[in-house]
Parts: sequence; structure tokens; C-alpha cells
Amino acid sequence: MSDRRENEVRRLLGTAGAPTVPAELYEDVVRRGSRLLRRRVRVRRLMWWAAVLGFLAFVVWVSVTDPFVPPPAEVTPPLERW
Amino acid sequence: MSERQTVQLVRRARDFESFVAGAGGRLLHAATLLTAEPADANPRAQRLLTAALSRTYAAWDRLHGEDPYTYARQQLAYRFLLLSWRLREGRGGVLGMLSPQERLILVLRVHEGVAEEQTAALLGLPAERVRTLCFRAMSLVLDGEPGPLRLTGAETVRGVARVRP
Repeated sequence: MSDRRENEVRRLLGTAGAPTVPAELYEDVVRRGSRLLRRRVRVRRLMWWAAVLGFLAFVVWVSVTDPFVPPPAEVTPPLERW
Repeated sequence: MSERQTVQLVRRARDFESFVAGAGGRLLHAATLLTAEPADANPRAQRLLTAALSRTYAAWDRLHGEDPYTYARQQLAYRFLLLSWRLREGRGGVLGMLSPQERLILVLRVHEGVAEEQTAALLGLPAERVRTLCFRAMSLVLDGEPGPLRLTGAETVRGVARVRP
């Protein structure tokens, strides 16, 4: 029963008449699609640059400040048996 | 630009052009049904199709064997979902009396033959709900009314349980 009704609806949707695709639509699609692609490439390049710059800044900071060396002890160990 | 890249670009353009030539009409038909516009005055459907196809163009190299038609149809459905709060009132067409969601389900399920589970995943709804909405939409289109409330098995069970606890 549901198949028959589905076919009926399909037929109804088909009789609406298929619209024609305007000629300029293709060029519009290619223009917008290329713009999207270019933007995506630009964003990716920018992110790579940011990552590289961040890494370089980290290397410079490490070499200048030596942050991973433990600080000298502030308490002198007790003096015994000398 | 190297020769290989140029060849690749030309082939890509040719492939995409033949894809649009083959699938454009069918997709525009679906888009026109979604926006509920008459076939000869469908600016919204054309904009929808342009947006979906330009995303397909941008993703062309990353499809990796996925059917471009499926991708374009999915984009069409997504863009329509985003826009549907503005396209609430139809401008005629066969599906003018349906809500945007009902139109989307009917077009995907009946016109495009997308499986119930995939339609449900696309809309973020349970499959049961999709079946109910599709049934309702078909009744509205064929009979002009939402139809009797004996729907699917699960719906009936739930309805009975609510009436007679």
C-alpha cells in the first residue's frame, strides 16, 4: 500500500516539470568554487606559518632563559661532621 | 606551474563540467521542490544549487572515490536546512503546503530514493520520526490532510500506550 502511494507521490513530483539549468550557473559555480579553494589554501598556509613561527619562538625562548634547569636550592643542607 | 599540474587542472575542469551537465538538471529539480517554487521562477533553488555545487567543486580532489552526486545532494540538504527558517512559506509548487522539514524528507526519501537511516542521520532525527514525517507528508500531498493516526507499528504502540496506560 505504501509502495503504491510512494509511486503516486513520485509521479506527482515528476509532473511538476523539470526546470532548465541556466547557462550562467556553471560559470558562477566555478568562480565561487575557485574562490573557496583559494581561501582554503590561504588559511592552511597561514596556519603553517603560525605553527613554524611559534616553534621558532619557543626554541629562542628556551635557549635564552634555560627554563628546564632546576633552580639552585634555597636551603643549605645541614652541616654535619666536618 | 608544471605541465603535470596543468594537465591535472584541465582534466579536473572537464570532469566537473561533465558532472554538472549530467546531474545539474536533476539537482535543480530537487532544489526547486525543496524551496517550493514554480519550475520557471526558481531563484532560491538556483542559489541553493550554486552554493552546493561550488562546495562540490572545492572538494572535488578530496572526494577520494565518494560519489560526487551524493556529496552535492548532501550539501544541498545542509544548505537548505540552514536556510529553511527563511524559506518557511513556499511560493507555490507541488510541495507548497508542507513545512521545510517535511519537504526535505519527502524529496530525499521519495524523489531521491535515499535510505531512511541515511535521511535520519542527515537530519539528526531518529529513523522512526523520519518515517512518521514522511508518511504525514505523503498524506498531505495526496489527500490534502495529515491522514489517520495509525502510522507505523512503533508509533501505534506508543499511541495506544498513552491512551490506555
